[in-house]
Amino acid sequence: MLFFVIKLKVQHNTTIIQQKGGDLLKRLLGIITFSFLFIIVPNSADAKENLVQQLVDYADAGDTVHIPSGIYEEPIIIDKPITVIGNKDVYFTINNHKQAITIDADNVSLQHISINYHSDRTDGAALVINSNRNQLDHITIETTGRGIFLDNAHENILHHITLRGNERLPIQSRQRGIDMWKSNENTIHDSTISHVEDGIYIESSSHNVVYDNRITYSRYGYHLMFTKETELYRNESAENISGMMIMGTNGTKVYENKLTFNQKNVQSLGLLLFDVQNAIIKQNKIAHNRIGIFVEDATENELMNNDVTNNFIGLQFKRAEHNVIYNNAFSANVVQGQAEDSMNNETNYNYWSDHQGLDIDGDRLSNLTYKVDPFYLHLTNEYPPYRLLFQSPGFVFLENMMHTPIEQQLVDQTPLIDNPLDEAPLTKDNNKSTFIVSTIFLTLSLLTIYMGVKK
Amino acid sequence: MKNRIFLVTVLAALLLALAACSGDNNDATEDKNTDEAATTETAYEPEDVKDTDVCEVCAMAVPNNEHATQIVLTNERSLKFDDIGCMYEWIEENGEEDIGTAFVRDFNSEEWFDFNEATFVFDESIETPMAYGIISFIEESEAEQFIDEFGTGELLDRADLTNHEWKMYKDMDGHDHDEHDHEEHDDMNEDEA
Repeated sequence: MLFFVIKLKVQHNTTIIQQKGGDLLKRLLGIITFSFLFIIVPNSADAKENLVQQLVDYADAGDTVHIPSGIYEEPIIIDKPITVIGNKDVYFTINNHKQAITIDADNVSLQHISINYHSDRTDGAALVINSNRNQLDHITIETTGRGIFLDNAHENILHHITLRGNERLPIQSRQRGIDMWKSNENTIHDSTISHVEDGIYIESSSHNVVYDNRITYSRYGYHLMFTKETELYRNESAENISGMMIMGTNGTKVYENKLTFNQKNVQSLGLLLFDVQNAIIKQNKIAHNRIGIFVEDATENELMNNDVTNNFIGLQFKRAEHNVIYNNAFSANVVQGQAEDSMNNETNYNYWSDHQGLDIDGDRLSNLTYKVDPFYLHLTNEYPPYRLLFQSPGFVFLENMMHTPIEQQLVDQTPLIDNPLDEAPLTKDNNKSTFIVSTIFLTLSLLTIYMGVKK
Repeated sequence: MKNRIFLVTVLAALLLALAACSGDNNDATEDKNTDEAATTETAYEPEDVKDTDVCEVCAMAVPNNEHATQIVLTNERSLKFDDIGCMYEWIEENGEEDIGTAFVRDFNSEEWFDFNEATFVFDESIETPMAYGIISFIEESEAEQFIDEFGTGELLDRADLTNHEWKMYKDMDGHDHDEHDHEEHDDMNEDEA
């Protein structure tokens, strides 16, 4: 008790503790009076080592604790509902501990903190939450291990998190950015994550919402395993091995995300749906990946209004049945689609840029069928070196010769003639300005021709 | 003129020599191939897991850990899997005809060995990449020891796997089970040092 009071004397000049209960003045007077009674004052380094934990211990529920600027090297545990705010330049540099900050209590708010976490423990994390209704914002984490771990934690809100792994570590040795385990109804938004294993990983959890985040230079951007009713929207995933891996889920909603340039590996994917049921995938831009959308062992999903462009393979089905795919645009993919052992999918009313359409009745639907033959995939699965002969004339000839039963093909009976996701056609104003510019250029050209030759 | 005849003669001689050499090499290569074929007929070797390996069934990256499994086909092509459940699913779908040897890794030593000689431990709560809950051991005694330490688990041999109910034991609701002993997560709050 004596030691504790002495230390608080050192701290109270730089720290503000606001107490909602109203006995703050009394408490401060007590501290000052007591502290003057003792001559021995611990050195400032010792005080700083334990400062934050003491501030937390000293605060009452509902208090706001402001952490003074500085570098702190001891982990802390927040076990009461308080608000902890870092003043400018608050850094936790934590080496070889299991975690830097642990939130054990409900209704904690943690703001404006930087954590530098060095540990190769696979069971650790820079920040651990195992309680409910907490809020984290403006947290910056640099980590060699896991970033944030939510363990049986519900209704938490994490936003404006900047998390960076160690880019010098090989991907196999990195750990997850934000890892959720058996945690429901959490929200993660406006966060940036890079150089980790999986940016946001959610397992055995339900009703989580993830939006407006950006994940780069990692293994998988967003990875769902066995989740229910997860919502992912307006997120970006770029330069990762794969953009979004959605596995073993039910009722997932994925919309308005941008999954681009995920092609770091020969097996890179934009979006994977594996063992997925009842997902709605709409209005996403999936571009410049090795495979745009890979649907495997998935049933009863709906994919519409997605822009799938410039991928090596646009859409690939494997043992996928009873899915509905419509109004998507598949353009400029090297192979628009591949299908394998996939039946009873509704794949009509899509736009395929390589389809030579014929519209006889003017309904902007092609009267010719678009078919995706699985021949190439079958053969290259069996003999991978044949990939080198991709789209060679011999291969196309063989494909036409070796007829695949129609029920194993991906078929669009009514392909769209126009790309449904194209920008609106030129407006009248645009037409007018084009006309003016053209006229000016024409006049200038004529003037040059007639005047330029005179001497 | 003489020079030209000489040059043509020398070139012809060189060509002959080259043809002879390449013929010898071909023979040598063929001999070597025959030898290799003779030896590989009986022994298939597992490949190391590479960064680019993905599971043949679930398309996930195959981590280089104790859960990785692989099938070396009779044509020596190696198929990797991130979970023994994925491998079993592949076998169910494709049969065993083309399989040279199927390999699993020992849970403790991570050493590759023949799938048919393994002892397995199953429990829903054992964490595996695709939640099939089965791990492999070279020694039966080590499998038993694992069950003792883990507190629960069913001991299986290769024959038992045929009757095993293969499925991913997924829990989507996010509520912790009391009996669930999550090896990675449970002791999270204990340590601070």
